[in-house]
Amino acid sequence: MNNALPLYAIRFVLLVAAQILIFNHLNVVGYLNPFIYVIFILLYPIRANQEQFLLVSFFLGLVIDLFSDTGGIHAAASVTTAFLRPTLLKLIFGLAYDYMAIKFDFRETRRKLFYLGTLIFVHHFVIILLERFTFSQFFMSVWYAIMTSIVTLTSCLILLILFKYQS
Amino acid sequence: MQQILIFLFKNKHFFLFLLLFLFAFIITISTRTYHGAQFWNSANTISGNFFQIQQTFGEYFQLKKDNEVLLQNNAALKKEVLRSKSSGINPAQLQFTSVTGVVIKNSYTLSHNYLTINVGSDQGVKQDLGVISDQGVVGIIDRVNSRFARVQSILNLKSKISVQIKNTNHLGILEWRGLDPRFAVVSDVPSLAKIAVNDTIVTSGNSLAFPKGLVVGVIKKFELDESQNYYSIQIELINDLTSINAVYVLTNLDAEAIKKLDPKDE
Repeated sequence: MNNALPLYAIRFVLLVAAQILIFNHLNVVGYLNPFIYVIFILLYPIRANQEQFLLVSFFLGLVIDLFSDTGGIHAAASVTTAFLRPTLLKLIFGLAYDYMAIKFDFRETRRKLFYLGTLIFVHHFVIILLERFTFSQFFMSVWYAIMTSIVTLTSCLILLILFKYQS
Repeated sequence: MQQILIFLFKNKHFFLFLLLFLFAFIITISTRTYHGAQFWNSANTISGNFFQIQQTFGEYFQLKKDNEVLLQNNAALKKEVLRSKSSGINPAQLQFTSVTGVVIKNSYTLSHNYLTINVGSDQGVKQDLGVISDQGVVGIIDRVNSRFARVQSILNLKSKISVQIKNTNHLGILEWRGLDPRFAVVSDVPSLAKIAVNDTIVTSGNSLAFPKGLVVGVIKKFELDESQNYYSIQIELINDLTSINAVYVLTNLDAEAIKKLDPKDE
């Protein structure tokens, strides 16, 4: 992890910059904006210290909030995603997770997609609930979260393929 | 005591999560209140300067469009000058002075949208002043520091602006219900009003922020609400809030005098 620190610092800055400067202005079909900065949380090293992971995710969300006028909703969503990640990893990858032996190869594509999709949905759902701040029109919020998640997942996959992520 | 400590230590991840989540939640709540959280918004100095730099690059991509808008605006102004020579100047327009600013950050995809502009209290911008662009109403100043100000866009679930049907003078309230930045809703128009599709909606001049008669939008469809006493009208906004560059902050010169008449209203 220590040798990888510069890599993660650079990834942090680049993702925040890309989110604020480009992806906040994308407006797919008029009003859907992908939140690609969750890649940072999704790809954070699995072995890492959990408290450190929570704090870094919170800080990431807070920086995004500062630049998007959204109070603390990105921070809340990021920290929720980070908190739920170990549980989800265990659920989806089962024993392999305990042995830290997850290999993202072709056979694992479906599981990997499911992992990305679920965490992205959790993140977006928290954002949308906090942003609208109401349970009225609950199903519309769910629908909106699903639509945004699809857009984010697509953008994330494109980015991951472009930058050839290898675990 | 020891038991509690053990319990806390066992669930330390959960409690750290809870603490951070609560902190984020409190920031969220406090930015939703009127005077809360002076720091956590894009009118603060760090992000204000950042967006200022972004804007200096971004401006170039807008130049062509801005030129077109300026040309149209010029043409309209010329027409206005010609008309005022023949018929005298509209006194309602003299009641306002304006400060020109540039939008350095715009949002329209959230449910609570704000813009940040590069003029602040140094230029005489104050809270609650109205903001318009060449095409129409943009919003109301919500927070100010010395160099930047934040505008609560009409595309914000909190925004309510007094409007009227152009020819009948029936009043209504302009609101936005989320999602599509092209459409808004006018409520509280009494069912006595005779309205039709494609009627124009203008500002009423009832609030101190905007002069009477600024075009807001046209009626797309309308229906009576549950009580059958008021219309709920869907309108298409004339002002394209997804693409704004220059804005004017309006100061009402008569505001003090009008407020004195009705001190309880404040």
